[in-house]
Amino acid sequence: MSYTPVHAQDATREVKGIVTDATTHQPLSGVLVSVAETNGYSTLTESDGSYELRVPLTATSLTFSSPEHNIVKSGLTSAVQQRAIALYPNTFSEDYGVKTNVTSTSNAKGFEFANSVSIEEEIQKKLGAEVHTTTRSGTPGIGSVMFMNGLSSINANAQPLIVIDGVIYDQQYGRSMLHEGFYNDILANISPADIEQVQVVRNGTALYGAKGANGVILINTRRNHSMATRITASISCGVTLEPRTFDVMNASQYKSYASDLLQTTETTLKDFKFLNNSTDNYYLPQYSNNTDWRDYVYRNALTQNYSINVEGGDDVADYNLSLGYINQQSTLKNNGMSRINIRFNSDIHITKKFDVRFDASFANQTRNLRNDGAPTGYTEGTPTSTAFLAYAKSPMLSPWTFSGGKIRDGYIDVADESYLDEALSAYSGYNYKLANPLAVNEYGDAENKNHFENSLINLAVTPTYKFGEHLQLSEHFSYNLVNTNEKFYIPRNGVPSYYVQRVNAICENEVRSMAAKQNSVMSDTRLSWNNRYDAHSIAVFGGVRFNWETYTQNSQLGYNTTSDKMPAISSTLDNAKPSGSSNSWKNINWYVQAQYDYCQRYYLQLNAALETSSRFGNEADHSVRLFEVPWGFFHGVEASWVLTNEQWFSAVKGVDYLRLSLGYDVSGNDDIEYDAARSYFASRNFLEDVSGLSFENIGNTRLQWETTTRLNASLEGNFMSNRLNVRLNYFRSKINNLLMYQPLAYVTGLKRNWSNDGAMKNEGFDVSAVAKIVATKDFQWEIGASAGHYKNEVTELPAGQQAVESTVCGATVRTAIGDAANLFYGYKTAGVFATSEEAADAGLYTLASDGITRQYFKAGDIRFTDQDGNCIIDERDRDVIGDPNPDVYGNISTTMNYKRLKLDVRFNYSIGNDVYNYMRQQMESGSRFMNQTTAMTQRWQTEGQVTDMPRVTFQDPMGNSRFSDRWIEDGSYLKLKAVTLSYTLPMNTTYLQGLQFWIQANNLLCFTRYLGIDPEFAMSGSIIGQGIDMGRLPQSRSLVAGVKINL
Amino acid sequence: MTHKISKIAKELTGLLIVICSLLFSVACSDFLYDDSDIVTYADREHLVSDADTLWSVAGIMNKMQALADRTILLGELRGDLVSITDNADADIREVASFSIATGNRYNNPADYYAVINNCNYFIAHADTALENNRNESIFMKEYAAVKAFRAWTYLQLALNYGKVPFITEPIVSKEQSEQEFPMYGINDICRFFIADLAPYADIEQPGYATIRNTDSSLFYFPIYILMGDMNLWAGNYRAAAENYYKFITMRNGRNSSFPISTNSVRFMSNDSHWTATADTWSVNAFQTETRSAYGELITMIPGDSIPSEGNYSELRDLFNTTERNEYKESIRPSEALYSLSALQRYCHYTSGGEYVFSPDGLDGHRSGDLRLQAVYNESNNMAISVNGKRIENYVTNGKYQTRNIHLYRRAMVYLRMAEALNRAGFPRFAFQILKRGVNNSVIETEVVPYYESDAAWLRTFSFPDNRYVLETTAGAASENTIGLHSRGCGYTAANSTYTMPDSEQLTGQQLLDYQIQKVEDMIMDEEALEFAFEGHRFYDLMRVALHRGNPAYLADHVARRSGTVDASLQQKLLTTGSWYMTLPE
Repeated sequence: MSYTPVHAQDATREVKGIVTDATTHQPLSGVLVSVAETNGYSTLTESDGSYELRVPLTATSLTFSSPEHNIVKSGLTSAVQQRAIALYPNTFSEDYGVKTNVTSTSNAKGFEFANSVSIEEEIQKKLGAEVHTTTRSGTPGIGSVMFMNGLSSINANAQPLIVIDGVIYDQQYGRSMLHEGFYNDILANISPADIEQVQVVRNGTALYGAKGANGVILINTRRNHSMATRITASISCGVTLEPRTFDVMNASQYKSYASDLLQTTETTLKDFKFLNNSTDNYYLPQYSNNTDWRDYVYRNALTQNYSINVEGGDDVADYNLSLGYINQQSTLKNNGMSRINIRFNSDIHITKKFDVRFDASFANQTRNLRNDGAPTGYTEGTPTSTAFLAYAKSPMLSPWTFSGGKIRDGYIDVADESYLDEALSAYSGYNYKLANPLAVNEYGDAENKNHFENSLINLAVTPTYKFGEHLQLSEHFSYNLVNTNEKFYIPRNGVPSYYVQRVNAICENEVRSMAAKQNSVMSDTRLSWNNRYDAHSIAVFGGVRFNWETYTQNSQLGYNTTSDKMPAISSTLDNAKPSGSSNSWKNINWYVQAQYDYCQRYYLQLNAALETSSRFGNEADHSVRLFEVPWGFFHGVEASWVLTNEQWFSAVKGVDYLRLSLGYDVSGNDDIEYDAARSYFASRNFLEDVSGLSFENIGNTRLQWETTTRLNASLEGNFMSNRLNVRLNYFRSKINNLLMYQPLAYVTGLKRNWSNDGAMKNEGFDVSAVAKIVATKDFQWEIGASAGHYKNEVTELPAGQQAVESTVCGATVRTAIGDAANLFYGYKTAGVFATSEEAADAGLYTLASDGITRQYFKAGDIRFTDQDGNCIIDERDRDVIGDPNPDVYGNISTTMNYKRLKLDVRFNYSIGNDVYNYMRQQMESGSRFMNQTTAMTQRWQTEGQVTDMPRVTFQDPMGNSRFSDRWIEDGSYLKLKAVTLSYTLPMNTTYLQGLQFWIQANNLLCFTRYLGIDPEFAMSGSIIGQGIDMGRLPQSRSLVAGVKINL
Repeated sequence: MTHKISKIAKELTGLLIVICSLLFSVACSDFLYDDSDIVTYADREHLVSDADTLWSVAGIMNKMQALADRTILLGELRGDLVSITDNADADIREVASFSIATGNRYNNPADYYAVINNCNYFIAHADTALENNRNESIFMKEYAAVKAFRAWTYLQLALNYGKVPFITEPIVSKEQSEQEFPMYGINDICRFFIADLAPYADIEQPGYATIRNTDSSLFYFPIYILMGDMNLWAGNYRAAAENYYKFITMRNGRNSSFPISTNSVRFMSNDSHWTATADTWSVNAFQTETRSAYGELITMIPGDSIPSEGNYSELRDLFNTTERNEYKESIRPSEALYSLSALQRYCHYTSGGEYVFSPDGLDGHRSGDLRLQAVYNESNNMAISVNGKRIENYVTNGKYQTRNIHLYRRAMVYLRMAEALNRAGFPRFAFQILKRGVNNSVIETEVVPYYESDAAWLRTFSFPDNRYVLETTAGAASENTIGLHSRGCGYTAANSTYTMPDSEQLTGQQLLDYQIQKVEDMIMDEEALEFAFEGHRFYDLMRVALHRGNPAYLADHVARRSGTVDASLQQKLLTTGSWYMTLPE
């Protein structure tokens, strides 16, 4: 039953073969056999699995597909009889795509059991080696940081470009939020359940011009593909367990610590109420508790997720409508999020030649929030992160109020901590009192206090006109609105008054509010054409894309509200200060892609783009000047060779498919500071009273994009009758014109501006393999593993510098020529001086701020390594002490299917990355009156004591807790990310067409030597700041059960 | 097939042309580079309305604030009147020892150019022809004020860096900033700005009343003083004297006066134990920060109240013991200043109507000139408890009690005028400014007879007797003029030891040269006594050393500041290059 060939002029020949099921070895009937990537030549297999098909002489490959099986491609031999084909059921993962993967793009799909808030979690689970993905923290929907192809920038954004249904979504990567430890993940507005496919584009990114250098992630949301109306409802509920914690000292250990520390203050007092254990001490009940503050801060959290999807269509229109609601508590009390999302995707066929795609979506996300993680300092306020206070707050205190000589359970203690007043009140401007985390939660809880809301609206309309069979013109117009507002409130009750250096005042509390809006308009006009001339197939598209972006943000800050009942921001608050930003930027991109193949053996793809941006300097270097503005030119070429489509190769046993690809790409990174190219005046207060306009920037008119040149080679192969699928991708890249914040000539009167100076390179690979271990009728078992690796090396820095340093949370991160960017650079240590004699022998000292007075290290101090042997411990003694870049990272997965039962297990891992454990540094520095880890009980206390924990000293004058290898740890881990068990109930009634039950356990196990709670975290999406653990909410175990109903 | 392709190609081209012409009917540059809601781009005009005047001038004054502390410190620490204590930080030490490194916070030429570039932009763009509806020029006052800011800043640059890139057009791109600029030294700079400022000397200063309770009329640099200074540095002594004189006569408008006043520190006339002093000098000179017809303060750079506001002057914490510096001051008077002060002879008019000299060896540095003890107090037996520590040492310096940094004051104008007149060949005129104060009678009797050939020029200096009334022992309310030396040394007019230098061996030009040198020494001592801590000393020493063509003049003074000679410092300072900081590459 061959169909008539469309290209009647093609000379044809006959091929024959047989198709069986790989699990039962029985012949398969009704399998669609067609000439690969060519219309018009196809047939179905007979009941004995055999087929006969006339194929053009130029055809080199056949495609076999059936609804229950994965697609298979097979190269044609010169003989009539082709090799036998065995199809695997689609319980296995796919080996072949419909089209030849010229750019070695990786795909992921099948998010139906995803309980995640945002898609990054799924990308991590499924494409962990292709995209180096790290979850920011355990806060629901906070997203992940993702790096592709190594490190693509030092100072500019290095995160990939996100394109959703053809629309570039600005991810607001550089925008900061009011709450510490929180990040507004734009992708969290898209429900993974609405996503059909994620494609990771590492090569061929020249098409995205000045935006493509960091790699591109294409996300396609679900559209209707069938004529029948289908309704799918999903319900899932779960619980996330309280996270693990590390041990802190108990009340008596803390009292001993505090007593030691008091002796190093200036106080001359000997007796303190909180250290008096005699029974006639009236205050004894106030200070004789043993509170585990973590009990009051963490909880088991509930999660719920509901969605309904309706799809269908007819000759006139196809539609897919989905509605979802998700509510996830955080394991931190009084934290959590909920989201409602609606999406309507439609394809309207107006005439035969004229189609319109119309998509609309809306998502609204609200959150209850508090600060999370360790504070970055203590001079601008007092810590109010309940997660941090849960460790740091003294255990001898009670959360409940003390009055009349006893603790009143149930009445939250709102009085300021006072046990240190006698000793420390004379230290002006020193914040030593800690808040009651219960009060922070209780009195900070309201929609107008600590609250976050984000809405995303997208409207897109895409008319397409087909001029004929081969030519079409489309215009994709999209409008995006992202509206964000956030309220931040530190209550008066239960939070001590604190000194704020910025305003030089003691403050009672603080209110902030922020409202931001981003409007994005995109127009993408595209003309595409394709045709095939015998063995030559050509597809070309080209067009122009405009992007208009405006972002405005307004925020206010004020201190000292009259009471916790009046949390509103107003100008009457002390030191009330408004601030804001307004950025507007535009891009125009002309692009073209041409793909040619000969016999589906040899592929050649050319990509080119000409892009201009309002963020480029008007005389940008390396630009082409057209229409009075500078344009960057980006280009790439990808070539593939499908060996198995060669007749001489197609008969080779054991090799079912083999493709080799080579590519070369030049793409750019246009994340240039908005106005850096232009000179402008900004308003600054003169005498805090009148605004004065003065130069704020002297523009670098030659400012340009960062240029990434990438060479890649990849191999994809299926072996042993498609039992083994292997993909290998190797790349080398060079990034030139790095954006660096460089000194300006002093005659400008300004210190710095951005310029393009510096270069670095990356080399790396990722490899993945999937093997079908068992394939029987009832039982199928598949194992997969992937590994990614990159090596980054800085090759050039501006102005002949050998290294540039920056400081993040006390850590010096150094980027030096010959090393990877962003290494930890600090002091090395060799234990603690046990005796005074030992310390005196070493004779190490530091210089006081006057640059003359020597301060000698004594017994109990850390013995820092004196690299230059001059006895002064100073900056010259620092060295590289850690590298946050992993050696290898990736996934391990296994899927087992027994009849209708399916078990899916996914690990991810990272090996060889170093971590700066900032949280531990805070918890073991022994210099503040905060509770410390139990390791602190080993502190040096007596002459001769051998230990690795130094003596405690108030305010740490010797810098024992400075940034050193004490805080650097191996952050390698292997994590059992997700175990999913699902069961499909067979059903075929009028109303119910299917039922699926599933349970999923997340973060079940983590193998690591890391001393912190969770070795997976990210404080920032920028390169500088990777590997610094702020002690934010760890990911913890969760269990979710769900049911999916097909109506 | 080729036919097909060409047809398609035609279709394609046609379409592209349509799209292109649509897209580029407006120029790309207009599409890409538009205005901002938050900042003002330099390539868009903004100096076009009344509202822009204050904003732009305030922006420049905001940049001036960064220069305030260093103007004082660079001028004072490198002189011989102060020494630094053990509490001084490394940057201060470097300044005092003439070894200022690149990272030193007082060595940042960009801060000067921040003022200059903003001024240059203003000067290039302000529309001075623009008038309001009362036909008043909108920008002229600001224009003159900005020219003065720029001239003062360039003068500071040249004094501290020797030769500096000279730029009078605004730099509006990084590329422009990287070109080669001509290098101007002090003489080139003075020459340029004397001509640049001259047309604007008589223009009123802007009036913005008080800004954050601070009298903004004190924020400007009178052009006559600047022109006086520039001429003095450039060696145009007569012109310098004329400009200072013009400032004095014009300060309070036509037919007005700006006498030196009788403010002074003196022993009480009825005190017989040399303990009680009365001080009208320091209150008027250092604590009064409003403009008044006879007030001392002429120009200051205002400072912010708290460090976080950005332009907080550290000087209070360097010259005094304060809570912020944990009661450790960094700068104290030098031995050289103490001895110079003690060396003066204080002439006391007793209640009995006699003139006597105060004795040597009085407590509290009350022997000699009284000005130092009036502003600098040290107490070693305080008992304040701070952070649990007992504070015993307590220092107050009366010149640094406010947040604002004073730059110009009346005595400076008079003393510089004296310096100019002396160098112009009229030492007796200069001497009278120190001894009795000047009015027309003094000029007629004590000056003109000695320089008959220049009588006409000398008479252009008119200090009418009815407005410049010399001090008498009667102490009448109308008396308003004393010799500057009288501010700290009692009745100098009657001081028999404070006399015009003379020599019986010398005559003619030799005598004149001798007198000029001696009177200049007296002026320099007077400047030391009057302006100690105020940041003038190093530049004064430099100017005199340059005028005398003798670097040793500066080297000897500075090397001797601690009382003994620092030979290596002396050696170093003999090279004029060591007087300047080095510009970065």
